[in-house]
Amino acid sequence: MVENNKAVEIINLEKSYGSLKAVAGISFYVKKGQIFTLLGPNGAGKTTIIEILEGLKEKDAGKIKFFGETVAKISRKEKEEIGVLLQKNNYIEKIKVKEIIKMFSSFYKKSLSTADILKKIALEDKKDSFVEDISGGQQQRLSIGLALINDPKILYLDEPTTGLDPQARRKLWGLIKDLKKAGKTIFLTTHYMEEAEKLSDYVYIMDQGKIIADGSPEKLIDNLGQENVIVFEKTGFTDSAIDELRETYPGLKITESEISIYVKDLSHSLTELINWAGEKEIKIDNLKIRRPNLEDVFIELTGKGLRD
Amino acid sequence: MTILVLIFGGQIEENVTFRISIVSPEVEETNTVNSYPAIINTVFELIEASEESRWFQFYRKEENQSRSNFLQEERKKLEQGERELVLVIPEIEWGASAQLEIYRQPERQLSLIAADMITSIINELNKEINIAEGNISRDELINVSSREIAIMESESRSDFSFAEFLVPGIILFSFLISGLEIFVEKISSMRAREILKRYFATPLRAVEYFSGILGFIILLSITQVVLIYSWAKIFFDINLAIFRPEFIFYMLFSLIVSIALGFLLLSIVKNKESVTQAVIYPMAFLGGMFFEVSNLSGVISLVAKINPMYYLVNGMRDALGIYPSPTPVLLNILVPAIWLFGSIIISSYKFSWNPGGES
Repeated sequence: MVENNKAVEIINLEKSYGSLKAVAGISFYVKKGQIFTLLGPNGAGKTTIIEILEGLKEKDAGKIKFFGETVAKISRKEKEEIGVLLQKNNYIEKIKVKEIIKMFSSFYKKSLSTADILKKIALEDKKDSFVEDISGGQQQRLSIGLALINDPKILYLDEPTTGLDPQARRKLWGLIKDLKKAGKTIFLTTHYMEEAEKLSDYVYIMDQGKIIADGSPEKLIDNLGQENVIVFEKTGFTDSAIDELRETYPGLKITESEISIYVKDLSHSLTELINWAGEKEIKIDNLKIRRPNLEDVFIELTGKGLRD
Repeated sequence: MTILVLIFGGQIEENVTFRISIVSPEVEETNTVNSYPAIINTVFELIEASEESRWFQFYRKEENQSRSNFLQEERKKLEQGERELVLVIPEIEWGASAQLEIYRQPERQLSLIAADMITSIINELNKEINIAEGNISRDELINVSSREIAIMESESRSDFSFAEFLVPGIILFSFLISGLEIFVEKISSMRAREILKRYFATPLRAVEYFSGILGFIILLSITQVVLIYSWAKIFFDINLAIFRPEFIFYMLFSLIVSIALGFLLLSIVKNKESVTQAVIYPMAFLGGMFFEVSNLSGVISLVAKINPMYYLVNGMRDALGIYPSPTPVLLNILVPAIWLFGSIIISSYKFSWNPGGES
């Protein structure tokens, strides 16, 4: 039953570039109809895995199962069933939106109509525009449209919102959620924890070619065992003050500019912190209270931030 | 034989062949021992039978062919570069003064050399006849007057046009630009911008994509040839038989070699723009596309001699009869073929459509 529910599965997948082990024996599967996310910093090995699953790279070792069928590599037959959004999406100059859709349609045995694609990505009014003349967000929507041309069983989206402004990013999230509602299986890589939290049904967190945690975003955050994070600026804190704080709050995390304290009892901890600062005559600037997120999970697991 | 050694010494390169037509009189005087035509024919027959025959290829009329037809055909061949010289022997009575006619192409070095050689042979022959007749003795050669068979040189193809010389070079240059610019500039840019990667994430195969590109280059090249020829025909009044099978063969061969060179560069070079410029122009200018480069010396000569374009343009001009190839036909095919196969072999190992190097 579980086997029938798997869209893609990899078992002990390995890939190296010279002496660098980009993917070190990773196993996981993606459930049909879910948004599955690989989260990790740049260089973690996410793109290598997704490109192996797109048929753009060959694995060194391990097994790939594509909708229950073991395949040595993703070939032409599997490519008919997958949709791809690469990290970089450039197109030839002087081609119109409708023309590039038609061109990509010709690469597949079966394809949706140009009108259908334009409707899905809400670019009907831009069909006669040159690709280079539409905005970055519209170009990214077009790229997703091109990934949908063959009505794929699974969509691979590699860092889909990198480089987009917040508004365009949210629009794209809406589109991805709509695709999930339409029954598509979506394999996403990102280094934005907010994106992973908002979109994912299941997350694998990667670092240095290995999986370091997995689960739903809620479960991963709950596993931290903390309910709140108190964040404030590091400016004005001496080393001895930080050492003193660390004794009181062992889970304290320090970045270049911020100090984060993970707490369960917010009111008690906050009162305690303000009193301590008053006694020490330390000014606490830009104090914020937030719920823990996947970045906190990553920091907890690796001791460094996703963007470090 | 003595005459030949006196004239040629050891100066002729081993691979040179002079293609000479001998147009003899209709009458059977050629068989008479005491006739000038017979003596001249005998001299050439002796040359044919001698060691020096490797330098010459003589053409004579068929038995049932008329002299005038033969002369007309051979003059045409001279115009087309298939002969270096046409020697017309008139009907000469013994003891009478006569003129031999030599047809040559003044723009072709080999034709000029052939004319000089034949003139020298006839001069030597004159001397020997005078000595044999007792008009002069060998000791008195310088002081005794002799009877001359005057030689009138007729220059054929005086309408030689530099425009015609340039047309094959320009066609070849357009192929080189298509091969290198499209492959190296456009495709490497598409590779660097991951456009190719996106294409190959679809079921489209690399072989299908590149077949399409090849088809485009072939169509583009046909258009270029038509435009170049039409332009030259309209504005420079050229007259070239571009549908000659040998020329069509050289055009196709040149196009394939240019594309293969493009693939080779695409496979081994990362920074394409500067390299393309650095390759195209030396290949064109040292390939003799726009001027004759066979007289270059030193390192530049060596660069020209390993340049496949040099052999291709020689072959094209030779095939059109514009200019005789300074290199043998075998080399005109062999050297570009070595580049072609070398490029294919290296490209098949090194080429990648993926900017990361993996394909």
